[in-house]
Amino acid sequence: MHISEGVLSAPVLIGGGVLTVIGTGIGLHRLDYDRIMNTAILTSAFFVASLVHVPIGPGSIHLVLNGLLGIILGWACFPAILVALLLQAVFFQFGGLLVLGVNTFNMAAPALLCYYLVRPLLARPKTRGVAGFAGGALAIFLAALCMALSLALSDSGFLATAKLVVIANLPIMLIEGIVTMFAITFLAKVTPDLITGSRP
Amino acid sequence: MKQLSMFLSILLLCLVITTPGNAHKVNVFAYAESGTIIGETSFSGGRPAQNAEISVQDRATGAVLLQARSDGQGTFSFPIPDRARDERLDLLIIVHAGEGHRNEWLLTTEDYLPGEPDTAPGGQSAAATERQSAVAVELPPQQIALPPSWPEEQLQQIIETAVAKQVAPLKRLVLETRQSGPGLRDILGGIGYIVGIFGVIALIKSQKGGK
Repeated sequence: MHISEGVLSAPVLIGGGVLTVIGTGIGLHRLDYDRIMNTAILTSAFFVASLVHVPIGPGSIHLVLNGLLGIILGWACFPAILVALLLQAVFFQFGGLLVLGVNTFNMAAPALLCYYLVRPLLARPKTRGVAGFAGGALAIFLAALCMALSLALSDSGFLATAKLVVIANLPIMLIEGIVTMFAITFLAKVTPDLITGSRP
Repeated sequence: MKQLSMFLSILLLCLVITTPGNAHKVNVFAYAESGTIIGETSFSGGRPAQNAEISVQDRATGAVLLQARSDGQGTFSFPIPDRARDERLDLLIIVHAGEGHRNEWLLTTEDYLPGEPDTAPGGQSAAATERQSAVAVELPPQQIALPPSWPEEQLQQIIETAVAKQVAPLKRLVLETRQSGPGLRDILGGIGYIVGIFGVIALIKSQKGGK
């Protein structure tokens, strides 16, 4: 899910950077004092999740958890994912500092979309599980599409790249969906405020 | 809120404990052995990068000298390009493993043409002469009892083969060390930074809220 340094062209890098700065600004502005602890913990979860590998398929795929972050944090997922990706780049050499903006946008924007799509469905217990699964899987699917788009804008042939990236990420979509579903249903039982609360 | 923190902390702990030390990054490593450049590429954690695109460039100009693909074990090999040998180019070996995974390995002239006997008679390059004299300093010829019947060329070949055999495990060791994924120290350090960064954000927010 991380794009390496030196693959993307300058306009894509700059565009991704600008979008990430805007998203992070809004995220920080909306992040209220009470939720900083949750954001930090979820950032840590995102930070380590990429070390959990799924040995399926041709590529090398791992947990991302961007769906979970998006559903719980809303706009705050932007600063959370930015910080986690920065530290992954520094400590694990995943991605890189120049592509940080693009990588953050690719994972945070789908997460945010899932927040708006899935959040309303979480209020009712009946749809909660399905919504959690859909949120987790959809976030990965859209992130894969974003990634394919950034690669295609620097290179050529969106469809071929997109097909490849989406197929490589199919197993992780399933796994993320299940993980997110269990996390959401559990959190809904334990801290219903967090899931059904209307605060963004 | 407390329960949430506890749940997430436990989740985090599980992740840290179960992490097999894998990473999401493609590695490449190459060395020369008797006129062939051999390389390995893998995702750190050891999964070989199969069928990855390898391109060999001249470092100075960026001209592509060679294209290759890795096999099922993630290894690749190709003879040293004639042009690189003639012009003594530093080779930049770039691997594209798809999905935006890219890494490179620099193979300098010294790496792949070590002590190669200069084929041009009398026309030795300055660098080659220097290297040969350096060798001569380390091994004064009068201290080695050589059977006089052995031609120098053959001797050199024997030495090269023997040294290559001895060095091969070291090369593999270096490769494995380079490819070991992030350790516990990296993970805990990263989490420490996250706590610190959000601590700073909390501090700023609290000061703004207080006034």
